[in-house]
Amino acid sequence: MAGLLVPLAQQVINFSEIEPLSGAYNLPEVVNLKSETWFSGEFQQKYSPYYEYKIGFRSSLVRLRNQLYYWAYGESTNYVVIGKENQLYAWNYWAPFGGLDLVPDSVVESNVNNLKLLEAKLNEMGVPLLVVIGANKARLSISHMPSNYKEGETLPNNYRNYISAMSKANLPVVDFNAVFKDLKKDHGLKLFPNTGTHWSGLGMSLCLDSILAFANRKNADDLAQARVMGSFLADSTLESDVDLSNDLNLIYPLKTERNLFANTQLTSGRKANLFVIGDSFYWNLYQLNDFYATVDSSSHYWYYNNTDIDFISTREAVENFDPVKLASKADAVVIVATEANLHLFPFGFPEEFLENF
Amino acid sequence: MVFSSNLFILAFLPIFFLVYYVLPYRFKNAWALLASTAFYAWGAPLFVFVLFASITLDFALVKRLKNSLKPKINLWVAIVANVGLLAYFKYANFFVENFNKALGKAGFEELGWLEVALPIGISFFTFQKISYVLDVYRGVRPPLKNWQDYALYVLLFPQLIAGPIVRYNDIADEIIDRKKKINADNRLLGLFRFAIGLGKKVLIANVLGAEADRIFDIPPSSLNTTQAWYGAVCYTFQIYFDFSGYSDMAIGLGRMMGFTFPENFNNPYVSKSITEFWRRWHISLSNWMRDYLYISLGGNRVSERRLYLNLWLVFLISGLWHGAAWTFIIWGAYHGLFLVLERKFLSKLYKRLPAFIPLIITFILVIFGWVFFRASSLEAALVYIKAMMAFSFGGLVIKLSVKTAFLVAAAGSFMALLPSVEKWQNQVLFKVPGLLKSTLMAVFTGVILVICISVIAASGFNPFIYFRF
Repeated sequence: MAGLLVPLAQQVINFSEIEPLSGAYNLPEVVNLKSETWFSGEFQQKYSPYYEYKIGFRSSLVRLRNQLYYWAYGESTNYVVIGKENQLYAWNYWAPFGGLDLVPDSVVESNVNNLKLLEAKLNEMGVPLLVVIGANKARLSISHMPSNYKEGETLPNNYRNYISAMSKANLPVVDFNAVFKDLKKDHGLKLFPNTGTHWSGLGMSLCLDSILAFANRKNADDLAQARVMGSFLADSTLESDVDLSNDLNLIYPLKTERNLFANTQLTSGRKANLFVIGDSFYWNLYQLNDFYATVDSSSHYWYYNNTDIDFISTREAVENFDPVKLASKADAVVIVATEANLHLFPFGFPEEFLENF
Repeated sequence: MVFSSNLFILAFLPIFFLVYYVLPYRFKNAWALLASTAFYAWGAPLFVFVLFASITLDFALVKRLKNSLKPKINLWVAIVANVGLLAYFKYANFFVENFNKALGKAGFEELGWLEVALPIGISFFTFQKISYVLDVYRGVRPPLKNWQDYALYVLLFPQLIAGPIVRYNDIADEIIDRKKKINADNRLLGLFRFAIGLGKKVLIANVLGAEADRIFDIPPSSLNTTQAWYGAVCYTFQIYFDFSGYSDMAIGLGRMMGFTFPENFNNPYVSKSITEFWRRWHISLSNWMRDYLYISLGGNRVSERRLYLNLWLVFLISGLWHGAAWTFIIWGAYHGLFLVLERKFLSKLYKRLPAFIPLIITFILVIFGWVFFRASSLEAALVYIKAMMAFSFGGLVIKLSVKTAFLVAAAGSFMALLPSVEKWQNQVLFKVPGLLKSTLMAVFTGVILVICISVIAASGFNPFIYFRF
């Protein structure tokens, strides 16, 4: 019975340093104890769930529960899906493959039309537009997901619809699902870290190479390049390689296997000024040394078209910038999205650009 | 405050017992009353005043029963006051809503009505209060001398909100003197029982409850027969492990305080008839209904036709006691109907069949009953039952953790079919343990508590099904 007081003691005097949980959560709202909040029951109603988050040793207790479920059932308690051979998946990367976030055809058509208009305006300014579709781990290794995640692709889905519509509209697109499908024959599952949802170092380098090659082709002068010449396996050193295993919040984290990195050859030239609007798959590139050797620090990256993130990850609201001005200085405008974010694609950027133009 | 919240387990519970055990015996009732009041006020901060007023009225009326020239008047005033409170707070919305529907259909304007909030546990403590009045009136027990003791009998937090329905006669002696029962054996057995109940609730009922919710939320047009049966069986196990888990926790907490609460469940799903089911399910309610309602209606000393009517009426009222909705009334009437049919001829028929056949029939009847109990409306229940009977079978995808909980629930529900299991259950739960057994119990209790606390910490807040009654 006295043992039950230990978490309360920890909560009050915090006698032991506890590692916090990974991932984000919203602390339930709590109201002040006043006669009106007590007698209306509002205080009690809000305090109970709030207290669950404030108990001493909460993170240890949550990790214990997660570890027990992992050992007993091989299951996680949140959006992380534990697949075969310790492959981890983010649930929201399977959902679009299963057609669960399908956007209507009219929305796809309208977005692609806006992208065409954007491309035309950029061309007037002499700036090329490129769309990059990031590789979806769930799509490329669905057979390793648990059996309750059906293997067959649900049609229609956003990926198929956008690829088809952009192809018809003749928009320049690099589809890394198709690229990885070809690479899978040689590299198997190593194209993704087993404990992460983003691409491995090789995928990032290929993306950088593709963007720079595209920008170079469309520009008169030579831009520095980081050409992918081959690949090798090495211990993971990238933060994104463990993003899912961290979010599992286990006592004994899953082992991250060796991952593919690229052998690259740097060519001399001017660093590219890129204006990129996209999801975290582009942010991953910040982990590559080659990125800083080839991309100019005056470049801009607009995360989900909401936040400007510079090379030292300083964040600023995109409303503080003029997209037309930034595009005019860029060697290329790139929109990056993976399948999990195609329901948001192209993040409202074309409309905002055209309004400012 | 629910028992399966960390606010209760890690704050209220240890603080309460720490002070309870440290205080001299003469202050224990006062502390228990204070803590119970705080416990109830947490969920019903305004109604607690109404409850205290009602307790005071009961106490005054019952005290005068013996000296009164017309004790029946005092008796009826007390009963009407208690039933009136229950009727107003629990059933007024239901009756006004239905009355308004009837008015609307007849082309009249509906009555304006401000919805009444349902105070938690009102059905349980109202029955306890009535048992006090009737036990004293019938001369089973003398009235309590102190208002504080009576208030504690009603408000005692372990059983206040979701039972078991502890009749006055059950704990009258212990309210006054339980000094010898506050000992290490009862502390260990009580905490062990609490841990078992918490495990039933957190590790089984909650898991199957989420699964039942998932199935019951599927639109009827997409629901196949396999899913419908699976959802109904999940709910069947959920409600048993949820409610019996709560009862275990209440009985365990009572034991830690030195009280002996009545048992509320005895392996109900091994029943071979609905009659037997009600001797094993929510026993404290069945006994209350029998002793205070069925017997008052004449019991078995009436004509056969009247007896059947009384039986059916008792179950209709039992259904209404569970909730102010047509689904509960139909559920009560459904059970009452089978009780009557069993008296009439079914029991005789069952006796001629191999034992497993009435067991399966009873279990299936109970499952259909739970569909009414679970469904959001009568229409939803009928649509769900239609899906159960549609013979359109399909596949099911079930997570391993849910499969495990389901199998443990099934094993736990039917293990009493094995010889000596009930005897073994009684030995484990009630017999004072030796050193080895005490050590094993302490370890088991610690492990289950830590696992449950960690599961609650990871998954948030889960109220009990029976709280709404």
